[in-house]
Amino acid sequence: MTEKLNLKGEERVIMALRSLYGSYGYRPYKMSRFEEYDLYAGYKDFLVSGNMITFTDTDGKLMALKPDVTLSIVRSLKDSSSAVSRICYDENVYRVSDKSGTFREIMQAGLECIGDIGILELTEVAVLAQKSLKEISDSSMLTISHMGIIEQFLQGITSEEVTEMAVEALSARNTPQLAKLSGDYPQFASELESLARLSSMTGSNEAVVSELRKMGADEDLVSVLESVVSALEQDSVRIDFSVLGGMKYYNGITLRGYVEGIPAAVLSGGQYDRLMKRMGKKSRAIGFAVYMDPLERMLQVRSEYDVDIVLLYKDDENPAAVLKKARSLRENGMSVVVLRTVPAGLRYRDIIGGENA
Amino acid sequence: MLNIALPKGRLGEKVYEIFARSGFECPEVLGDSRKLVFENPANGVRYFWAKPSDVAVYVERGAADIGVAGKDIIDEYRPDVYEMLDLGMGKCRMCVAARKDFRDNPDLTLRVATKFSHIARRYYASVGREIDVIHLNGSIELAPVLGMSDVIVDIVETGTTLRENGLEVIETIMPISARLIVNKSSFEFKKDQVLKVMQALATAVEE
Repeated sequence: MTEKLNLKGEERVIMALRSLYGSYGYRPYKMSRFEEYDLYAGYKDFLVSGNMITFTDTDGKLMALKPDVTLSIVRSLKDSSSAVSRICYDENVYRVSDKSGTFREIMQAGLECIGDIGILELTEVAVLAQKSLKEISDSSMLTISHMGIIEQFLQGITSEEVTEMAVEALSARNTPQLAKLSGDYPQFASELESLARLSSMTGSNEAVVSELRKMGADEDLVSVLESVVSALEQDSVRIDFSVLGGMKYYNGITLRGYVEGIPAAVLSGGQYDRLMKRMGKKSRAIGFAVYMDPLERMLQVRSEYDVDIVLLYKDDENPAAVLKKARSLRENGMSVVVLRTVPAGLRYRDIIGGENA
Repeated sequence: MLNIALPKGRLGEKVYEIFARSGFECPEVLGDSRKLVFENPANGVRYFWAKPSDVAVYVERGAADIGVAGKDIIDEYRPDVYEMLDLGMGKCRMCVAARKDFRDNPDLTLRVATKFSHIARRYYASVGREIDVIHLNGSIELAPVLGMSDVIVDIVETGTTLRENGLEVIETIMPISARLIVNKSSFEFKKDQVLKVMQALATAVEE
């Protein structure tokens, strides 16, 4: 069917994701292209980039083209600590790209699960993240961590500066730097050594879990992580403590997803109870987004020809007859373009009419 | 196939020797050929030489799975890559240098000539000093000599160039050495090979 609809690769993925999320009871959410600037201004450090495209509405209010979907969804939902809302979306957002420093329109699809979140909901979202990656490619990897465990080992580091350096090293998988820091700051040596151990874990998920227990990580947190991971397909999930979200907003399970052939992560998300709290909500929440723009290149299906058939006509031919002929060819499933002359560079399978007739 | 970006020059050649000793040899690499890419299908490696400041770009964009880049480049461009090993080679320092007769006037905006604009901005922000960055692409030492800048932020290896031009180091920002950097996605899909290379390099570094 996709072939007949002539969909681009990322459009196919979006349709597949929409139907996947729908089958788990996630309701699609359609939002306005812009929102009041104030909504985002208070949470700038939650956003991937703090810059926004703003303009003044007719009533003088400052508006922003939405740089993010999560905040709009959280705001629009009724706060409830007893029910669970399952929302999915595919939307364009407007952000400054890190590299070019200019604004870009980025297509993203994703979901948010908000309300009375327990281990079942956390697991379900992780399962959906893994399935989302599999919709994109047969070779994918979901990496998962638990911010609570990282924070447990960061807790004893009372210097903000050292914490910052430690977090940076952990997310760059820079184990030697963590080891060096523990030499430079002997008062935090045991914490930094634990972080170095987290950073160097590359074994199987079971091995990582058992090592976490040996290190004295909080049993409640380890068992959450263990239980979520055990529900996933083991060949494409890996516990990885370089997966860090912003600590002001993210707390528990954190997710990042890769597909082979794309150099950067295509999926990112996690549990953001702290953002909810800062927005004055009682509920807890977890969600993730899949970024479509890096997929464009990988998923492109380029056919060898621009068009199947070029139908040439001369000025003295009867237009109705020419169009009829084209229609009958199209009815046989071919794409046909009617032209007087063939433009340079057009690639076609066959040519009919004109001199060749 | 593991794609490895090496920085052109002595450091790159030294790093290649370690790779080769660790079972990732590709004899053509050190030859005089004008080829850009060297492949050894037998042990699954492909090498290419890149401008040292471009290695991080090749790795971040996934054209290379791993590469070797100086800490100066990593700190300047902040590529989204893993920095997994300090190779302890190509050691030098990122420094602030000025003319020997330079006396800082904290009342004025400090004019800083450098190739490393981000590092300079970050450093002076951390000490709360207002600066005017003059971005240059080479011969940074010229700027204070001609009075275009008050100081320079640059890499200092032996300090000979500075001395010959009447300059001296007034502050060390950080030590620099070569690092093994790894593309984040490649790490997931070529983990065994990446870890093997890393292990080999770590052993060689310890020796």
